[in-house]
Amino acid sequence: MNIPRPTKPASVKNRERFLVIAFLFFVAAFAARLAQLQIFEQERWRALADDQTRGAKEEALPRGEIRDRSGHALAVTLPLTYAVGFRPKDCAAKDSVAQILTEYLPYSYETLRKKMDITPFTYLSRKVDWLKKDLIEERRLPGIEFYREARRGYPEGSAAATIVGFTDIQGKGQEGIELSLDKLLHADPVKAEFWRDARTNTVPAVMSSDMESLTGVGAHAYLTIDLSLQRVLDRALAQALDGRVYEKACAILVDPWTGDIMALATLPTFDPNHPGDVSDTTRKCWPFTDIYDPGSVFKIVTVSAALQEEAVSRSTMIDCEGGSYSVPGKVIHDAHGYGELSVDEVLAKSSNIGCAKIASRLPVQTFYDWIRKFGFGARCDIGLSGETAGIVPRPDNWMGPTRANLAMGQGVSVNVLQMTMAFATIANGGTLMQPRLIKAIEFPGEEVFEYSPAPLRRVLTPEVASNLTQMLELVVEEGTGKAAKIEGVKLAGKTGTAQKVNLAEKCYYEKRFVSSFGGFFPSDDPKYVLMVVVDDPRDGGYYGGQIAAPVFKTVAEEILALRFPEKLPPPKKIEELASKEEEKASEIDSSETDSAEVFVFDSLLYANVPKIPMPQLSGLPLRIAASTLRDLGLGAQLLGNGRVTSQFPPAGLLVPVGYACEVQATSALFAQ
Amino acid sequence: MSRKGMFSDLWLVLAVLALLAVGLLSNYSTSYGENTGLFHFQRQLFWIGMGTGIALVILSVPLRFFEMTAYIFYGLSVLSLILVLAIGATHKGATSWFEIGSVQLQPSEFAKIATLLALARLLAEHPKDLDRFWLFATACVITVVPMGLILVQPDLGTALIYPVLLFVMLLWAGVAPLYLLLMVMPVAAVLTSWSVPLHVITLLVFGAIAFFTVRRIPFVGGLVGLFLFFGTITPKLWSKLEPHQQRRITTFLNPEADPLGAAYQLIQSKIAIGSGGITGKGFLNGTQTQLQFLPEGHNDFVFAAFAEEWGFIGAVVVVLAFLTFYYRGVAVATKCHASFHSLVAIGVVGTIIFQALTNLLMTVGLMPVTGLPLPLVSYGGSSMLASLALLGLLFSAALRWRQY
Repeated sequence: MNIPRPTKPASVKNRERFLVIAFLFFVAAFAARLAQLQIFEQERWRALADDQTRGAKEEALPRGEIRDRSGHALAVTLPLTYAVGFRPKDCAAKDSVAQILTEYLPYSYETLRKKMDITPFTYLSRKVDWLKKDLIEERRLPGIEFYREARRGYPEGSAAATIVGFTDIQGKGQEGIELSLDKLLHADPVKAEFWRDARTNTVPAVMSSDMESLTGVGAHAYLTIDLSLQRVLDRALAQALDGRVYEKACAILVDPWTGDIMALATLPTFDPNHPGDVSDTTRKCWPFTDIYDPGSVFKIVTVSAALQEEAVSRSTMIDCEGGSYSVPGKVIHDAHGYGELSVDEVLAKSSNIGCAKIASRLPVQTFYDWIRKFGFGARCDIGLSGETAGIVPRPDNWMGPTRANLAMGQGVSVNVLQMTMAFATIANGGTLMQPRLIKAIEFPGEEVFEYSPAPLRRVLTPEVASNLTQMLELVVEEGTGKAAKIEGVKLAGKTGTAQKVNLAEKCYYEKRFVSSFGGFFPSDDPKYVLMVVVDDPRDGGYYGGQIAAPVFKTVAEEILALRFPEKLPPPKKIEELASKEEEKASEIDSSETDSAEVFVFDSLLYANVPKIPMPQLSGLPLRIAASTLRDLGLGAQLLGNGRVTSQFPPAGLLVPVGYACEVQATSALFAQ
Repeated sequence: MSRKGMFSDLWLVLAVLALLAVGLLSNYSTSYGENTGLFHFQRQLFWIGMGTGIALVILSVPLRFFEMTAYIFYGLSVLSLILVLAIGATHKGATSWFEIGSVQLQPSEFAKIATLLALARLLAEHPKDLDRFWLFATACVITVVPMGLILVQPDLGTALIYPVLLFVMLLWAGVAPLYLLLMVMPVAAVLTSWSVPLHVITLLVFGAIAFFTVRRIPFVGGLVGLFLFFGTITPKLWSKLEPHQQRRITTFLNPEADPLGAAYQLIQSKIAIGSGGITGKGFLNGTQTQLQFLPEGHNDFVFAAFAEEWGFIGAVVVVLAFLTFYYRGVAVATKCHASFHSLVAIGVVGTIIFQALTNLLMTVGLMPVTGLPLPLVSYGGSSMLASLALLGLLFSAALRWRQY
């Protein structure tokens, strides 16, 4: 039922229609625009959105550390400085930013402003201190980005420097473990993606990294080096050779049961924090990479072979011809003329003629095989690059005097490590161990891959090994090695004096020698194999018994005093030894403080900041260490978990308040 | 009320509810990432509750009451506009707010309603004088007084509503086409004066419309003369302006000329809408909104925030809601027997749809950035209360369509 209503005139109807059409026109325009933006152009707008909201930067992760067997750091990465980068795209006010930066960076306004026009990215300054970086960061300048600059540091200085090696300025390994494990230690930059809000603050970062690959992950390397033994070895070798003239010298300490290289000292030494100060010959790990003729120490191989082959017995009498003996092509001399000597005496007195005669009882091929059995002529594969295999002439090439020469350690080229491992074989009852330098690799996420000790082969029967041990004891008791004798401790060893090879002329130097002494102690319960080599001693004689044996004695005494003081007889001078003990106890602190000279805080920057001594954190649980630092007003960058194994700066060093100290902890796995 | 009437009003209610829901979702999203918590969202809920209350009160009062009191309301609102200029608070350069405690009220929003009622009463009371000049002039005065006061604040966007409201209501009441053309042609002349061909084409179109509707040559000639006068004087006035004044106007008309100010807002709005794509980035996942690249995301550019997270589909829902609102709203205005009721209804629809179109077209860069909120969706107490009060009037007209 419709109520009558006034009908509108046609013109009003038209107006209604006009309103509808006008409205529909705008709605259609709007809908078309929406479709354009959201459907046809969506990729373009999405790209613009991503451009605004998403950022990414390459974050350099620190290179992995090199540590000793119990986790003390030998090589660390110090994130002390920053590179200041600039992205012009993100900055609309370059002029004012440049003006502000002149307050902090050592560049003029013009220089900075010019750099800022470099697209898409440029580094404005490098090696900017953390304090400056904080100040700049507070200004929240658009376009400015910070990148950590890793600097490699060697807190232990020259300790095991030739093994640890060093990196170049870009952080790439150049020598030693730094070079051979470069791919593992090196950390590929991780691409960090983040959201950016309208105020250019970064919102939670999304890290994306490829942790699948085994290289470039910044793994930590644990060496078999024992830092405390290393320090003793370094100091003892330097002490023993103090005032002497020689070309170079080394001492290597090996655990005969595991093949672990516990310490390696070389002289002259160098500081890997400043590798440029010395030449390449000093920096390389020459005991592993260079060959030399071992001389008389090699006689242990000759005698071992003859005993094991039962060509002779210990009591077999050998005519030593009064000191002069002709073999085809050569006349062999002894230092002193001997008549008939037992095999024991031949070794003890190191008779060349006796050894040549013993070797002559072995067929050529058999003798060669024995030399190879001891590992000569093959690389040890301990994980350092440039390692040498040495040269053992093949039997086909042996001429008249070759067998006699080899018997006394001439004409065979070995490296120090190979010779040391031969002593280790006798010490552990006849097994040649694979020498081990890399104990374990710790991958990010604390996954640890450990290399276990590996026996290579049984070379001698235990009886022969024990006979040889007794014979080597005789060398020290009454033979050429008397100078190495330590009161109350049984010592087995062998001297060696070899003519030095003139590599340029391919002949032997007339009057230049390599003097060495290898052995192990205590010989009734061998703990360590020690080999001392002094290359080209120029004064005070050149025989191994004169030069290397006393060094061996000094080093061995110190090591025994550190690790097995009960094995040493009650010393006559109690006070003296006690003071030595104290010295050792305080050793860690003092040496760490010394090595801290390397890290010099920018005196200008910290001039007004109060300084406090850095506490000793080693061994503390990480949590306690962190609160200790906090209580002192120091910042802390905590790495790892478990107990603190290394810290930076070292204890005792005066550090500015607020400094972010680095504390590295290691879980119980490697704590000894 | 017939069943058909109930049904069509249901559509109207659904459209309004959909728009309120869109507003709440957007406000939840924009306040989600802010450190003020869900402050905006909660306030919006509060305003909706309060506005609904006001709408129900208006609905329960006979529409005739508003017809009787229209001039009183109008007088009060003009007074409040004068008062706000004297003692009001200034935000973003405009003195538009009364601050009562923490609540801010914008009298211009309510002056809009009062002007609407006053115009409706004037035009409804004099059906015989619709062709007379005095009625047209009076209607213009009623409109220009509050509009002028708002321009002084200055709030250009809000002031723009008034001439449109006047035009729609004059059109609906059925005044002579001459008056409508008198309103439209000078504006068209000014806006097209920058391009001679466009200016000529516009003149020809309006001249033709004038010729066929007005049909009296002297008047048509007068209109053309007016058009040419405004068209020639505009460039001369333009060159007299200081460069910074020119820049302000060009920026208003063409925001992309000012990349750091208005254009920044517009580009961010386009990025937000465009990057939303067809299905959107998902609720609370809009990067431009959440990372605060989109300025005024809860207010003027609320549609961009919504379209980013809900995509083209969500945007179409908003358009459909306004379309429904428009159709059912015009239907209400059409079926009302009383002229006052009909004029109130068309005024409400015109106001809300004009604001909506201005805002929506602004967010996609088809109109200058005016700062008009999206009615029923944008955050803002005064805007929400005013919109819901207007809806109260519309529903009141819908309920009372049989009244004469």
